[in-house]
Amino acid sequence: MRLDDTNLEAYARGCAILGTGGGGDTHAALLAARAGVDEHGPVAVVSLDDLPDDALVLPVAGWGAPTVGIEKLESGEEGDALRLAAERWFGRQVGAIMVGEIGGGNGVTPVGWAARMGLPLTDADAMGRAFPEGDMASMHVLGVPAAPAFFADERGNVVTATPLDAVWLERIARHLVIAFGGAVAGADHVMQARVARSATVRHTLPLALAIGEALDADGIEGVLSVTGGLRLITGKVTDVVRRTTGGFARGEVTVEGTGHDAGRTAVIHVQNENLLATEGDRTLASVPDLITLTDETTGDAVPTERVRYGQRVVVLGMPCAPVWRTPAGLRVAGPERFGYPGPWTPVEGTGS
Amino acid sequence: MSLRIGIDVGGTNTDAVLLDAEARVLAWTKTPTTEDPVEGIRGALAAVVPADPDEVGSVALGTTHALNALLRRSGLGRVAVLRLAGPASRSVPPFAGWPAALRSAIEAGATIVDGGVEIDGRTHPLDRDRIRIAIEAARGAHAVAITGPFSLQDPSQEREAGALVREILGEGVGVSLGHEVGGLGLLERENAAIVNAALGSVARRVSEALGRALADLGLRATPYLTQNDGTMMSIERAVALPVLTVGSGPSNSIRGAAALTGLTEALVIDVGGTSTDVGAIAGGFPRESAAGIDLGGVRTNFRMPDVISVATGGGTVIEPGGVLGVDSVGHRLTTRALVFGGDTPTLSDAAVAAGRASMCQPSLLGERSWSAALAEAERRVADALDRMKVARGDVPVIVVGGGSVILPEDLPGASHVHRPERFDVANAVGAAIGLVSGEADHVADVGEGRRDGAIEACVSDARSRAVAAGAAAGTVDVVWVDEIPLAYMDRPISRIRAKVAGPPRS
Repeated sequence: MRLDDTNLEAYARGCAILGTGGGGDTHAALLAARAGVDEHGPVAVVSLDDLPDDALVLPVAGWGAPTVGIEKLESGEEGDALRLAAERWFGRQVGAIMVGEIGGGNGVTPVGWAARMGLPLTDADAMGRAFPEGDMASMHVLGVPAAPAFFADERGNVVTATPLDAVWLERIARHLVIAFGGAVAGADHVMQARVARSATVRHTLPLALAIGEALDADGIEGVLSVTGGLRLITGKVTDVVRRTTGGFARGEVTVEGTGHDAGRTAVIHVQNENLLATEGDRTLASVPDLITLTDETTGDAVPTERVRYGQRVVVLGMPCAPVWRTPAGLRVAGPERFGYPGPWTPVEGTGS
Repeated sequence: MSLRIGIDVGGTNTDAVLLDAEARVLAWTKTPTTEDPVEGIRGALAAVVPADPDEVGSVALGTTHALNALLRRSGLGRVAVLRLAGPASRSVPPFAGWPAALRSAIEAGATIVDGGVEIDGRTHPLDRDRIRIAIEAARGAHAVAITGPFSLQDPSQEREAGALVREILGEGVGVSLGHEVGGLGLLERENAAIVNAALGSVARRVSEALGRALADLGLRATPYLTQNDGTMMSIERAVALPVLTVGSGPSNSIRGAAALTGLTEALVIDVGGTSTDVGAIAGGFPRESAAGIDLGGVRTNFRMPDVISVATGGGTVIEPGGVLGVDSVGHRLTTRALVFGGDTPTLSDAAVAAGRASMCQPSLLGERSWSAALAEAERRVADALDRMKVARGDVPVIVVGGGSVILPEDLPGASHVHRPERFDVANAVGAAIGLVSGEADHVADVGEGRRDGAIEACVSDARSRAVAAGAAAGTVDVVWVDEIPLAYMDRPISRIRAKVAGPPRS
């Protein structure tokens, strides 16, 4: 697989679906990735199986507030600055760049960076979706150390940190985000391909592309067949409540069923991402499974900040990566972590 | 000086009304839109101007000229783009994602120079030498569009670069600053500034046409142009900020519908010849869209009325077999529709056959009827109506526009369907009653008792913009204030937006 001008848009649409309402704006990220690919050529997406055992894999992501991200755009050099810092630390070359978070703009931005560096992307990421905190990464669940962590801004500032674990990484990163003016690029959980093969969420880049292509060809039905997801409800947004507490944009979106779903009412609970879908006392889907609102007409994902009254949506519930369904995965990113009652049940057992 | 005139230039018709101080319609006209703006505006004005022209205090014009220029890529100026952001944002060059044809019609160079503002208020020094070089290279362009990050919070760098353009290239070259036309989002704001710069000459032409028409008819009234949010601005401001007028058509209809019925909360259906717009009036103003706006394929972010358009109007063609199509005969309705002696069955013919309207020669229809097409038109409009509702239950609906005879007495989802007298010139009424508004969009520190001051600063900024736009100082009221807290900050920071409006200075 390779990402070039012909399939980047489909890939970005797929990343938006996997973003579960969050993960940052894909629009500017797509423009930057296009510019990178136009100037430096397509990006190869390689399987971890095809990399040498000891190839150094560098997971990268942008940290920060979406509001800052749409004003202060990347220079394009951030990825290279992270790579140089990692190569200096390890004393050898990075073999492949890895998307840290496939969901939303964070799935798209590293394409432009990889193009500029002339390096391949691995076909795996660390989440298989979008999550709000840095420790919600498969490598953390599976015991890969977070350190060393590298941070780079658009001006050439580089910070290297050695946090004790991913929870400390999150604390340190939050303060660096502030110091750098609300946004910073980061790389952490650097590992060898041999480790990455079992510590990452595999094949999510091809999945994002397949979602985008299925969306183009067969609309929402195509997305469901590629992801194994369910239609939780088809209807109209009749209420949107938003508030910000503890650094999270929280809220509830009420969807009243139309057509076959007339008479039903579902509520989507949001904390940056869509985390829980309920109907009365019943849970339709719950984090870590994916919940995405899509536009009924275009099938495109509707980011949480763009949800508005009256929108016609299809709410999709899609099974998460197996790592999140393990006891360790559920401790890191299960419903209880976000303050919702457990126990978690898989979307294919609860869905309508 | 108590009378007001409103003119709305649409794709098909140019409408004008004369209102008294209580917004009663004293005179009205509806004429086909002309190629030459001067002729059309003067003709419409002449039909409604009172015996004593000095009784008229204001003339407000709403027009699709700017929007059409953009969609047809005609009459656009060439624009040099200056972005004050480097090294940030170099990953996305100006004009990225633009349709190639529009870009080549407009672009006269694009440069990203070092500089910019941070969310915490820090500024990076402007690279003035590079700016001078870029400006020298822009010689020959009609205008320069200048945008920097967080310029809504601190516009000083945009202003400084704008002053350099004037110093080097003189007053003949237009300057369009991002913070004056766009909202949050660097690329979208830059796009809005570019489109705004490109529309400068179209705006000058329209405002000169209005000025000449006023002079020809001996009117000494103050001229205004109506804008996207349903308010209006002075001619000088409209020439500087034409992009803010591109969405004024639907807004004028919505405001006019509200004025004609006295309702301040309702859905408004405006049926034209080609399409039907469904919008909403909330608190007396058109509800605005939260989503990014696509203008001729360019993503921008200034606010437009929240409107759903469906391809159904009085001129929509009924295909063989009685199936309702999506194409319209448009302004050729009066030659092509069956009741006018033409050869094409339209929704207007169907409405006449069903007894909903009487126009021209119903006898030409014979015994034919098109009930399936009418039902389909009703279904399309009812669906759009349902999408615009913000809550369950029936709501008051106002139906306006020349094509509205195609709709039945009642509509599903409507608690009551209001059909005001002069429903066919609601858009011109909306133009005539316009208030002058101002908006501000800040990112501010709201910690430790600073919140009230931050909101007051934002409202005050909006007020001074309203006064600059032509509102009478001291009568400007707050329409809304909106606060969105930002995450990942070391202290409480919010995005605060305010909109104010008041009557024009007389």
